[in-house]
This record gives sequence, C-alpha cells and structure tokens, in this order.
Amino acid sequence: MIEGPPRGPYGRFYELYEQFKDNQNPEFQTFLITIYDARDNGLVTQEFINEKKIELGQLFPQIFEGSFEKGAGNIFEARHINQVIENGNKYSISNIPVSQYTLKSVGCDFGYSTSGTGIIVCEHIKTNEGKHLIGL
Amino acid sequence: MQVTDLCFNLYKSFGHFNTVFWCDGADRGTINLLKSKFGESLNWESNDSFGRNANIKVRPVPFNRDARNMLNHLYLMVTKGYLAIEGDNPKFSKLLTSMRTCYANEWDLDKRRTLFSDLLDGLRLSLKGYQIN
Repeated sequence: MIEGPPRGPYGRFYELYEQFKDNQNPEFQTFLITIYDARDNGLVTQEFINEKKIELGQLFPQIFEGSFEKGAGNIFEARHINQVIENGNKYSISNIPVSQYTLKSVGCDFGYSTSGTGIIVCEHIKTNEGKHLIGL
Repeated sequence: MQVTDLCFNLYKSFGHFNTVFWCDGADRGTINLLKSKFGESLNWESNDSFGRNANIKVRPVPFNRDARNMLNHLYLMVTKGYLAIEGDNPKFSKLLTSMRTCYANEWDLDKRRTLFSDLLDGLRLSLKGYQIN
C-alpha cells in the first residue's frame, strides 16, 4: 500500500497515480479520499472547509482535495507568512495614507512573450513604536 | 497603458525625489524606453553602481548575477518580520500564494513549481531598495 497526500505533479508517487488512476489494471487499485468524504461522514463541517479555502487559496486542492497541484514551497514557513500578514493588516495602507516623504522602491519584472509582468511597490514605514517595516 | 507610462505615473504620484525603480535588466528595450521617459542616459549597461544617493531612478539589475542574493534578502526580510502585506486585500492574494509556493534549490527559484513567480521577482527586486540590519 502506498499512501500519502499529493505533493505536486512530480515524482514516483505522481507517476504511479497517473499510471493507475483509471483502475484498469487488476493488480492496482487507487483510492481518492477528500475533505468532502470527511464532511459527509460528519468529521468536519462545511464552515471548516470554507475557512480553509480562504486561508489556503490555491493550495486548498492539494491539501484537501487530493489534487496534484503545484504545491507548497520550501522557502517560507506558514508562521513567517502569517507574521507578514499580521504586520500588513496592522499597518495597512488603507489605514495609513501613502506619504510623499518615505522611500518608495518599485520592483519591475517585465514580461516576455508568455510570462506576465510583475510590478511591486514598497514603502518604508516607521511605526509609532519605532519599528521599521516595508509595506506593500 | 504601456508599462513605461504606468511606472512614470507611479513616480509622479509617489513623490519625485524618493522613488526608484529596480528592473530586470534582461529586457533592454523596455529599460531603454523607461530611461528615455525619465531623461536618463541610455548608456547604462556598463554602469551597475548607482551610489547611495544617486539621482538614477531606473536601475537595471542583472538577474543572472543577483537573483540568488535577492531571494536570500527577501527571505531575511520575511523571517525577521520586516515585511508587511495586507492579507485581507485581494490585490495581494496572488503574491501571498506565490510566497507560499516559493520553491528554490540553493536559492535558485524554481519557476516551474512557484506560482505567480513574476510577482515574486517584482517583490525581490523592490526589496533591493532597502537594507535593514
């Protein structure tokens, strides 16, 4: 028995799943168990699923729907990203107007034929507590 | 609207003296257009030193040389708690997804596995403007 969550469309696990997912080979049987099976059996609620969809965004299908999506990265831990979001919600540009006197740095990755253009504008913020932050 | 017009409008709206543009140096044509817009010299390829207070607004960055350092710098900014992104704002949802899926081998970003990697490239370019110890 080979068991596990999908971790992106790569590797032996993915190859075996793709090869036998139609269950045509009598020597192999694949089972796909999703969060909806857990909901139907009373283990989680639909509200929980809705919360996780918002929280995880595009990662939701990989973690809860057994889908071989492009998966989680290996650089940032969830707690670090949560800290970034916490900072952002506390010192959001919706609450603090953009100042003419702060240093703004704009990153431009111009798109080629098939790639998109990414433009990010950052502003240096010094909070009332004296903390330095880079807000977007 | 062309990307050069968009950048120039950002420049006008954010303040003339303290806004700089860090651009992927691979697209020479767009950089030349942008430099023309800002009235800067087109002889930029031999000069990659901008100085701390230089009046150069458009600053091309050679990705093949600096990409790993920029990703490492982004990592330090995030893990030390210097970065702030509004989680409730849908404008940033793709960027946050890109950060969550950011995958690299020895600081070399794997664009095949990282979603919306163009936004992550924009973010690491923009953070070149800040050095916080």
